[in-house]
Amino acid sequence: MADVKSRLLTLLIIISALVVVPQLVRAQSAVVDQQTPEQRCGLTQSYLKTVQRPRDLRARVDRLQAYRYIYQRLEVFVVRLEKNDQPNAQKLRTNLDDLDRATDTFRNDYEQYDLAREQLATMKDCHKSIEEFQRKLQVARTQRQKVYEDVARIQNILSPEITTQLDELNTTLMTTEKTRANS
Amino acid sequence: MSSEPLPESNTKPSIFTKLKLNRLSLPGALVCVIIMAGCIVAVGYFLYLQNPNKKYDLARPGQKDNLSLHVEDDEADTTGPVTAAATKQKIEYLNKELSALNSISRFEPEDLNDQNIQLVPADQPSL
Repeated sequence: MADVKSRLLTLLIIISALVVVPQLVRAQSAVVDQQTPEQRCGLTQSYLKTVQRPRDLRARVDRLQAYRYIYQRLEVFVVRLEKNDQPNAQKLRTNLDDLDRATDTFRNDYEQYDLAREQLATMKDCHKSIEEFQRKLQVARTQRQKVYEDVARIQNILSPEITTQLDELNTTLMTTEKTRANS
Repeated sequence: MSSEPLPESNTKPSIFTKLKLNRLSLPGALVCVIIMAGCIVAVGYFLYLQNPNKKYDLARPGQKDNLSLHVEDDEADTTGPVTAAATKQKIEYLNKELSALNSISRFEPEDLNDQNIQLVPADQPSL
């Protein structure tokens, strides 16, 4: 009999837990959802420090490495074209110089953005001056927009500008080699 | 209560006795284990370095280059005229490098919108 009682009690506890716990979680979630920006700015700062910053840092390192890698490989190629007075050397050189400058701009703009995001993430007592927090957030967004535009600019230099010139060069060289082989 | 003779196997010297390991102290045994573990790690790292798929691994802190971008070797010929074949290869390499770039974040402005940075609650999914 005691065994049956203890089993019933266990079952009752499990059923109660199944009913009560989701209600508690929902209630807690509702409380968090109703928080104002003043109450949530700490959460934002924590997100910026622990999630956004490492993500940005990784993207910055990977992009810079990639741009340098592509630049170095293209540089060797363009030097060969220049040394041998081959077509499209001048155009490719111009684009390569643009790529170099755009990469520098990207690096500098990222530093500005990083600084703005850090100032936002480390601002003290954000809940006491939410206007100041919003102002810093706007600065960080503006700086990030610049970095985004730098990335788009570099992407545009690489493709279609450089890829188109390489395609043109390929067509020209194929024609030249065919003509030379026929004559 | 007659005392039985010990089994024969118990009287034989064990492998530990033969190798004189029964005299090994605890620190000595730990050193042996650490050395063996070091050997395993060294062999594992050697195999990793030899693996051609290593370049698809994530770059580690302190490494100079993004390994996923190593799609072309250093050109052997750095002075001779460029041929159509070399140009075609360069186009292929550049396309691969561009595709590797596409997998990296572009610093989209939306990443800092109010919902993403948790300044306002995320929209609840509609049921």
